[in-house]
Amino acid sequence: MENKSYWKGLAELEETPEFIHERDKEFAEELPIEEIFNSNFVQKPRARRDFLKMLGFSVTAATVAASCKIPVRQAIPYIIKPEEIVPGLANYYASTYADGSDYCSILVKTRDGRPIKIEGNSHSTITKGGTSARAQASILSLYDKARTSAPEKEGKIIEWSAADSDIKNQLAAIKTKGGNIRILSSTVLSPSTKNLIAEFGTYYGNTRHIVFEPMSNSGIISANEKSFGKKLIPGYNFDRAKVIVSFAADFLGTWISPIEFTKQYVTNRKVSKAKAEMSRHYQFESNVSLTGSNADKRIAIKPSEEGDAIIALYNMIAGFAGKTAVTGGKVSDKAAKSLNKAAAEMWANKGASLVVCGSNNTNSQILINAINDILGSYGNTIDLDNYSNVAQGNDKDFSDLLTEMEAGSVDALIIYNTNPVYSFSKGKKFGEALKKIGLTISFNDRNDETTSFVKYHLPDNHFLESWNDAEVKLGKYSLSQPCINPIFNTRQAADSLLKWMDSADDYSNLIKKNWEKYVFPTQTQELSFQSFWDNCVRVGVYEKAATATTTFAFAGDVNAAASGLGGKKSDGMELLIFESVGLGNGKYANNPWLLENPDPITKVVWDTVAMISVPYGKENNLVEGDMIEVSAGDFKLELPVVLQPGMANNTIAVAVGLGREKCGRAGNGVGKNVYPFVTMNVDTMNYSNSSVSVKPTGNKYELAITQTHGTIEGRNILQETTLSEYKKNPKSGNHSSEEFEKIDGVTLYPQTIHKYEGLRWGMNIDLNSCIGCGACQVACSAENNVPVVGKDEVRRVHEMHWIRIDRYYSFAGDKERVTKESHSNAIGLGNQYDDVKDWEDIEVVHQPMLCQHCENAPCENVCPVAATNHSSEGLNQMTYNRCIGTRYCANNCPYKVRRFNWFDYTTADSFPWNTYNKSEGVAMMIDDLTRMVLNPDVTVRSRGVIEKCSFCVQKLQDAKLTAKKQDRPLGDGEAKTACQSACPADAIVFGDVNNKETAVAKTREDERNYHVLAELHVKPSIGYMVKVRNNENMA
Amino acid sequence: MHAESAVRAPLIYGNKNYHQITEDICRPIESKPTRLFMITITFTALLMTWGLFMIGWTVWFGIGEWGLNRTVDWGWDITNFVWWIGIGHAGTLISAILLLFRQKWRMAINRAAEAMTIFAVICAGLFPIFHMGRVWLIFYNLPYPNTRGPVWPNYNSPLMWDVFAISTYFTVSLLFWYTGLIPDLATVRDRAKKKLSKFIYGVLSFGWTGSAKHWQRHEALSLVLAGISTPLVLSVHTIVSFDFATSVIPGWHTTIFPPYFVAGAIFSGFAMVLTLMLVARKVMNLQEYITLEHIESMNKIIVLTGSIVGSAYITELFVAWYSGNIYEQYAFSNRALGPYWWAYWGMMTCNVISPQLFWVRSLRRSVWFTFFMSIIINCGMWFERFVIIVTSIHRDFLPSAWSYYTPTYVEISIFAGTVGLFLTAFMLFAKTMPVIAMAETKHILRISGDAQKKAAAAHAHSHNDLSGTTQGH
Repeated sequence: MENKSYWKGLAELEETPEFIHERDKEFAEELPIEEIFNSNFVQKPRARRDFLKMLGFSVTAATVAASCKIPVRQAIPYIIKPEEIVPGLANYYASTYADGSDYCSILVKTRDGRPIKIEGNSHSTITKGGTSARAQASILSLYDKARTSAPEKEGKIIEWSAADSDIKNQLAAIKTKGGNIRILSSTVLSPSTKNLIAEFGTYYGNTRHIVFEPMSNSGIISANEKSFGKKLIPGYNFDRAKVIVSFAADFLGTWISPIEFTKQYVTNRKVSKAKAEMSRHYQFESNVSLTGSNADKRIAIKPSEEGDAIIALYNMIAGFAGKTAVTGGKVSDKAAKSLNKAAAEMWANKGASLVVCGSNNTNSQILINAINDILGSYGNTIDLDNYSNVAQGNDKDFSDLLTEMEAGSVDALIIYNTNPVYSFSKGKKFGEALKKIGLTISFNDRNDETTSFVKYHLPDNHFLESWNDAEVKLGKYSLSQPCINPIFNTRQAADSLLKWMDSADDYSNLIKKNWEKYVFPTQTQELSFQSFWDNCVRVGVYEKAATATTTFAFAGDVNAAASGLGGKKSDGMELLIFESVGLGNGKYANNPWLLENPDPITKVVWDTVAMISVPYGKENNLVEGDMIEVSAGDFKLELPVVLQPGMANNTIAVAVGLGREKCGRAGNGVGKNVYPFVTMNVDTMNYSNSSVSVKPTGNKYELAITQTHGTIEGRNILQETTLSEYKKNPKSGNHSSEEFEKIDGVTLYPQTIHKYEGLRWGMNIDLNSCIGCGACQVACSAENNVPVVGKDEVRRVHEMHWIRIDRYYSFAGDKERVTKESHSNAIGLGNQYDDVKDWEDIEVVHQPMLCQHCENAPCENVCPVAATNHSSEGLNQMTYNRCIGTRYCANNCPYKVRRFNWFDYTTADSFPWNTYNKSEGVAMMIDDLTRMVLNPDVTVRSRGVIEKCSFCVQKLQDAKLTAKKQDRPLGDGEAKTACQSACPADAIVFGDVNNKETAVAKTREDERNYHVLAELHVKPSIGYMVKVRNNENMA
Repeated sequence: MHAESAVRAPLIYGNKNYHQITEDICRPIESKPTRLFMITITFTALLMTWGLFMIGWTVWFGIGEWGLNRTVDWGWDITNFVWWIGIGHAGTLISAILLLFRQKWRMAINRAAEAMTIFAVICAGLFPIFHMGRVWLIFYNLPYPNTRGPVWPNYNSPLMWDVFAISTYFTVSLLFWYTGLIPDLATVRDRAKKKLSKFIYGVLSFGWTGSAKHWQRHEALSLVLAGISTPLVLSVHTIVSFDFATSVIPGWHTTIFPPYFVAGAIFSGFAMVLTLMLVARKVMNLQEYITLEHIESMNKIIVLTGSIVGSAYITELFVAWYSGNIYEQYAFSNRALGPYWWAYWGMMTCNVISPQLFWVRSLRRSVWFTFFMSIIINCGMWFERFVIIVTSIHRDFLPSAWSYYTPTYVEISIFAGTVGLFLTAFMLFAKTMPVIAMAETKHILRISGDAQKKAAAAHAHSHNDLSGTTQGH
């Protein structure tokens, strides 16, 4: 019966053609369109209903049309598309970041002709793909509006041709009268530029090239001259050293070649079951340097004690070798004990030990050479043959120049990439002396402190706009190539010199010729120069094999050195000037990324602070932010103090790098210039002062500090063990993982367990490798368009970094105390430790902290609008355009890694004139030019939304797509996060955890792997490796 | 007619009859506003305007205008939200739960308490709305089919539950309050002399004629709304407490929160009712309707809920210690001894110690002492919310992220603005609507009026005498 059918009428039953026609029509009656258009539509009287219909239609149509106004944006396609540029795809060009003593072989990522990111170049055997914070941030300086945009003569814009003819005439006049021409530069790594300067000298005669480095190592150079007849900075091999003793050499942070040394150093710091060996590292220093914070044992000594300590070490080593001792003062018992241990260990590891010293004192360096000589370090851990070309500053030459200038015997001075009016202690004097010179030219990129005294300001290109070469160590060549046309009307310094020599060549040709002449013949692989050149440009480096080491006899006078060094210990207050890890010598003081990158130790941003010891602070009732007046000689400076655990008592340490007056809007007036405290010894600059007086001024100052609490409060966050414990039991120190793994699968809600079919991203961070340098932080900001917020906002705890490095202190050898709780002052090592006498003896851990991409993420379930959610690959992802900004996720994040856009830091919101630009640093970052550095693959977040680490999802997608296009599975290490690739210590491993063959999956099986706050059962995707300390029996 | 024991104190004094009640309660509406009234309302309205301006300021420039930071993402905003919502609890409790318990003394205060509830919920609602970073996208919270996917809200989020809990609470409270107002508004309409006020009250009273059918429907609706409100009294603050209880943060992640929050809410709600009514009683000359018996009854509820809250505080401390969880232990020791110790001890003093004084009858019946205590309790309950929210998050799991929070003038202004809004609204209400439920008060006049009580007592007495005599025989 179910097929029974009904019909409405006979027509349906019979299915007449008329019926079918009518049935298939959408409208029963014909629409009167024809009728309307054919009739005299407008004049026809209309019924009331028609009126309403038309009214409704026209209002709706008008509304729809009016509300859909879309701004017209013109995208103009290439008429002739450059072969290598595909819109939306990034190109990478090998290049070299070489600026004074900073060196890094790099890859420049460009998008649509704009350089936007710097990565390390793994082809280099020097930097091996590592980068530093400064190398990462150097790209921002390309878009710095403070750069001079056109050549100027006495402050007025001038044509290049006019400037050239002016200068050529004057140079010619000087040449005829036999006048003196001086070229003052920072270290020049480029062999072609050096060559050119030499040729320029021959061309004009009476020319000298003086190299000035504000944080000088000329003591090492002259000591090597005196010891071995080699006037150079040697190559160091920290990777071959089993025992390292450093006297205040911050070789991981600032000393000579930190990226290279970090790469070397960590090879002996990584521990595995297969290789349960580590180097031993003693650090004797006054302040807590980045290197000291990584040492197995750091012994706080005052700067004036350093000489005696070096002598004591020499005497111990000499004693082992049966040599005569030299005389020196007494060292403290504590230091003597550690020196004894260090000496014995080094003697036991002859040929595999290394002593370095950061002092610029020639006598110190002669004794250090002597120690290294006895220990057989030369040819093993120190290489005089494969010497380094960085840090070529010569203090004597520079002070001679100043004398010459003051005497009026210099006729022309050309300043190239150096700024002595700011960075020399008698900068004002230098500035005055500049006025006496007839022809002064500056190639500096901005109208800085020195340049404002010169006549001709002929701005140099940024290194990303230039061709250049570099020879950082003997035979280790690298090339820079331009990645963008000059943004301003600037010209490369070398090209200017060529112009004045009436050369037809331009500098890029010159480099090519030089390479053809000097470099090409040293190799045999490539037959034609062109293919050799093309390959070098592509790879970025050309490295000759190392020269075989030869033996050198030590010829230094240790007795004379010791008598000039020993017995200097003073009991008064002392001052130590050191180089800031992030800002270096101050050249980058206008770089907001660096200004906002926390100091690795104090975590202070945007400021110069006086680090003082905790007992000193307590004795003098000083707390963080109190102002003191430090005076030495006739120079006084008021500085805010930071109570620094680990500081030598009665010592003040202050970093250079800030206090610029003419560097640009972000850096002007930030911090204080402490270079005037530097004194001149006979022929070297001296960075410590043992006769300073300190006076609290009673003023208060609010510092911007990103981490104010420094102990772990006995929590499971950090896990550490010692090497011998680790050898006995690889699981030692890893308290929590086993316990929590047991309950791993236990849940009341099995339906909520994520499956992760396919990829499952995970990360591992090795606490043994991480040195805390902060390169990852800058790399992350660059890759992910993380806004800079400025000093006031950091004071208000509004910093935006997606990755931070937590730095925790503990008292060395006092395991029990560390676990006690305290509610105390800002440093978090509270009053109850008053009975602990040794504030100098502390240990430090650096722990990078970023979004942990939890499997059971507490942030995900609390968002009312599901703006943060879980991907099928284990990413905890933020949907910015969905976020309404309740900030519940940030409250509920146990790791506190979520960041809220408190203000319109980026001009990304649609409100006019509400942008946060109270800080000059932010104002610079929202400038149209500076915004060119933004990564187009990453949304610029608007005000009112939460953001956080995405595991660089744009890079992951890119790697996946590349693999997919090539129809193959994704390989291990193809997808890298920005922090990972920036890390000079290879502390971060990232990849697919589901694939058991990947490096990161293997770390999951490692006994040292643990998860921070595993007890919360949030199941983080980031594992940390238990820190292993090799610190037993170090006295 | 129900009879009531003569031992119970009368609830209406002054030998009232129905007409006098109407006269007494309508007098403030029908008289000209006093100078004091005008000055006060000008001040509160200015305060409100300033607060609204500061809200606009925040919306325009961003939440950065507040003192919040990367560790403390909620501060005064959510503290004030929970505080106002708590205050709003008295109204429904009085209207619904006391109705079910047949507490006749609620008649004198229910109208004002309900009005207070509505204004408090409005004030409370401003905070979660304007604490959002992008308030213009507030509709993302609403579950409706949309063109964005569609993307639905996240029903796992307690903030989502809040949206429903608070909007439901507001709607039901408003209906309940307005339903009760209709007969009284009709009374005012009937007495109105000016054409305009007659028209306005006419519209507001929905054409009430007082017919039996009207009364029957009115009663039925009131009962239905009371039925709906009763669970709401418990659910709203329970859900508000889930904002914290479902998180992982030590000091928030606590199962005790729902009952503890509800008790605290009633505690603070009654305190606020007392604050307002003690003033209104004096200014509007209503001592005969809001008697010492009323005040004492409310104080008894304050002792009860205050003790519940106090036990909850002590239970939290005990559980933190007993759990052996170091984060939990730290969170609580940090409350008492950390940088925000003053907030914790302020809370303990105001909420635990001081209400215990109400065990003394003379203090319970002292108008001045009660007024003082009502302010103290409101401060204490504000501290409680501050302690829970800020002290817990400013030092959570990783010491590296610890920070401190102080409000800016913007946050303080917004809070002051809500106080202004609340007082302005309440004063306008008191000036334009009957603050005491006339019709309901008339219901109980024959049972609880003093003259009627006396008459009944006299009658009962003579009856007793008679029976006694009879027995004696």
